[in-house]
Amino acid sequence: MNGLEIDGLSFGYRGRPVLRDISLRVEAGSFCALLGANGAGKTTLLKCINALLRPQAGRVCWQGRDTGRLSIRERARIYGYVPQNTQVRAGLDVFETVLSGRLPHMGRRASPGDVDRTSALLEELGLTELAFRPLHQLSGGERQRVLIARALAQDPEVLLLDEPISSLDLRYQYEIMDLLRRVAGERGLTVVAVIHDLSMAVEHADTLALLRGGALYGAGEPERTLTPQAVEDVFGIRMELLRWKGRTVLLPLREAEEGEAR
Amino acid sequence: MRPRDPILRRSRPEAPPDRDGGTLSRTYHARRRRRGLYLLGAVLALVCTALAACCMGVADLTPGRLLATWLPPLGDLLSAQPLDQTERNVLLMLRLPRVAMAVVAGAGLGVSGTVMQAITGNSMASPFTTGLSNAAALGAALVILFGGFPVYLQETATVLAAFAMALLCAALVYGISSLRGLGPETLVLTGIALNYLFNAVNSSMQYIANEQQLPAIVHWTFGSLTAASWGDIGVMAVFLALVYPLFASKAWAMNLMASNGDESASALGVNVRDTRLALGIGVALLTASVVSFTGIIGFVGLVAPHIARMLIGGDHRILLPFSALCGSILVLAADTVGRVAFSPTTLPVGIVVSYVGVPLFLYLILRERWGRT
Repeated sequence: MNGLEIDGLSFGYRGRPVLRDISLRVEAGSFCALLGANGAGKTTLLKCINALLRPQAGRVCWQGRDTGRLSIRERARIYGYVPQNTQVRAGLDVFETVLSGRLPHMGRRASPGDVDRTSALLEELGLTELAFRPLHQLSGGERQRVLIARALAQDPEVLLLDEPISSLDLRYQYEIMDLLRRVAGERGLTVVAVIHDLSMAVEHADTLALLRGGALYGAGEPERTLTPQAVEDVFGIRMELLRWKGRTVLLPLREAEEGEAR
Repeated sequence: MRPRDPILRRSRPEAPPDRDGGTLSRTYHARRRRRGLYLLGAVLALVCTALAACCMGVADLTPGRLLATWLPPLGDLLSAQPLDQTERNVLLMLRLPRVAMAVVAGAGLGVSGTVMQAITGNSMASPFTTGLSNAAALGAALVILFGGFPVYLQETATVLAAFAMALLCAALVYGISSLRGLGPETLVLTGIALNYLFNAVNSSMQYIANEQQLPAIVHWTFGSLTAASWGDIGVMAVFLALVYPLFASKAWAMNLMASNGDESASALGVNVRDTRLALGIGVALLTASVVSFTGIIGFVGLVAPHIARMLIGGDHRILLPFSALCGSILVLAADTVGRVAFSPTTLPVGIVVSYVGVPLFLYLILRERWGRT
C-alpha cells in the first residue's frame, strides 16, 4: 500500500460526534487540500492523522503502517505539523524555534548537523533577516513561515498544515502555496493542508477532499470534485466555475444572477 | 499551467548562493558561546557574593586575612593577620553553612520556578503561588502546635512534617487537575486555590496558638537561614543533584511547552502529559526539600526565572542553570543584607529577598519596555 490511507475514521468530543466514518487516500508525494465549511471537522481530521487526537474508530496508515500504534517520537518523524493557532508566548527566537523541529531526530542535544540544517532552511524560506528575532514579535505571516520551517526541519514524510494561508496577505498566500507545491513535487513530501480559499486550492492542489458535517462529501481531482453542485452542498453558496487562460476561477453568484446561471 | 512566478526568489534577501547556512550557523554558535560567557559571569558573581557574605558580619573579616589563614605565603605578602580560633569558628560553623544554604536553597527555588513556569505555560507560576510553600508552613505549624515531641526531635519532626505537607499539596494539585486532563491552566488555578486554603488553615493555626507557639509559627513563615547545619545542606544538595539532571534532560520539551504550547510539543514527539508529571514531581520534591528547612522564601521562585529570562532569553538549555545561579545570588545577597543592614539584629531572608528583589525586578521590567521602544 502506498501513501496516506485513512480508513473508517470516527471521532467525537464527549459523545458529540465530529467525524463519521472517514475513508480517504492521499498518494505519496501529492498535495491534498482539505476543504469544508467551519465546523465541518477539518482541523479534527488533521489532528487525528498525527494522533494529537485519538480516533474512536478506524485507523491511519502511512505506507501500510498503522501510525497510531507507533511511539509518539516515531510519529513525529513521519508527520510534520503546522498548527492553526499561531499565537506564541515569549520565549524562543526564530532560530531556536526552527531548531526545535529537529527534536524527533536529536540525541540528547542538537548536533552541528541539526544547526546547519536549520540555517539552510531559514535561508531557503527567506527568514535569514529574522533568524535571531524573538518569535512572538513577528507578524502573523512571518510567524507562519517560521512554523512551516519548523515542520520542514522535522524532515517529515507527510506535512500537515492547518489553514497555513488564512492569516497571510495575497503575496505570502501565493508564496506559501508555491512552497507547498514545491515540497510536494521536489522533495516528494505528501502535503495535506486545510485551505479556505477555493480558487487557491484548485490552482495548487493535486487533489481535494471535501468535508461536510463530519463526513467526507467527495475527494479527487480538483476540477472533477469541486463542481458547482458540490460547492453548494458543502458551503451552502452558489458558485460559477470559469475557465480563464487554462486556469479555474470560482465566482460566487449574486442573487440577481442566479436565474441566469440556471 | 501553474504560475511559476518566482516570488520566492525575489523576496529573499540578496545573498551569495554558496552560503549554505554557514553564516547563520556561525552566528548561532557565536550567540551560544556568548550565553556561555554570561553563565560564567554569573558563576563569578556568585563567588564574589559568597566571598563578601563570608567576610561581612558582626566580626568583620577581609579576603586578605582569609588568604593569610589558608595560604600563609600569600598572606605574608599582604601582611595580613591570620584568623584566630574564634574567628575561624565563626567562619566555618556559622557563616559558611549559611552561605552554602543560601546558594543551594536559592538554586533549588530558582530552577523550580523556571520549570514550574515552563510546564504551566504561565509566567505567574512559582512554588509559592501553587501552594507548596504554604503547605510546608502548615506542616511546620501543626508540629509546633500539636507535636509534643521531645526537644531534640522537634526540629526533625518540623522538617519532616513540612516536607510531607508540601508533597501532599503537590499530590492534591495533581490529583484534582488530572480530573480535567492535567492542562496547564487547570494546574495553576488548582494550585492557587489550594494556596489560599493552606493559607487559611495556617492563619487558623496562628489564631489558636498560645503565646509561646505563635512566634515559632510566624517565624517559620518568614523564611530564614539561621538554623543552617551542614546536615541540612547535604539533604537539600542531594535533592538538587538528583532532580536537576531530570530537568536538564527535558530542556527542549520545556522550550516547546513554554513558548509554543502543548500541541506543537506533541507534534514534535514530546509526551506532554508524562513530561509534565515527571517535571512536576521533581519540582515538588526539590521545593519541599528547600522550604522545609528554610521556611517560606516566596519571591525567589517567581522572580529568579524572570530575571534570568530577561538577561539571556528563553532557551531552557541555558535558562535552567542561569535561573539557578540567579536564585542563589538573590538569596545570598538578601541574606547578607539582612544580616548586615541592622546589625546585630538579623532580618529574616524571606523578608529581605522581596526588598532586594522587587526593585531589581521592576528595573528590569522597565528596561525591557524602554529597550523595545
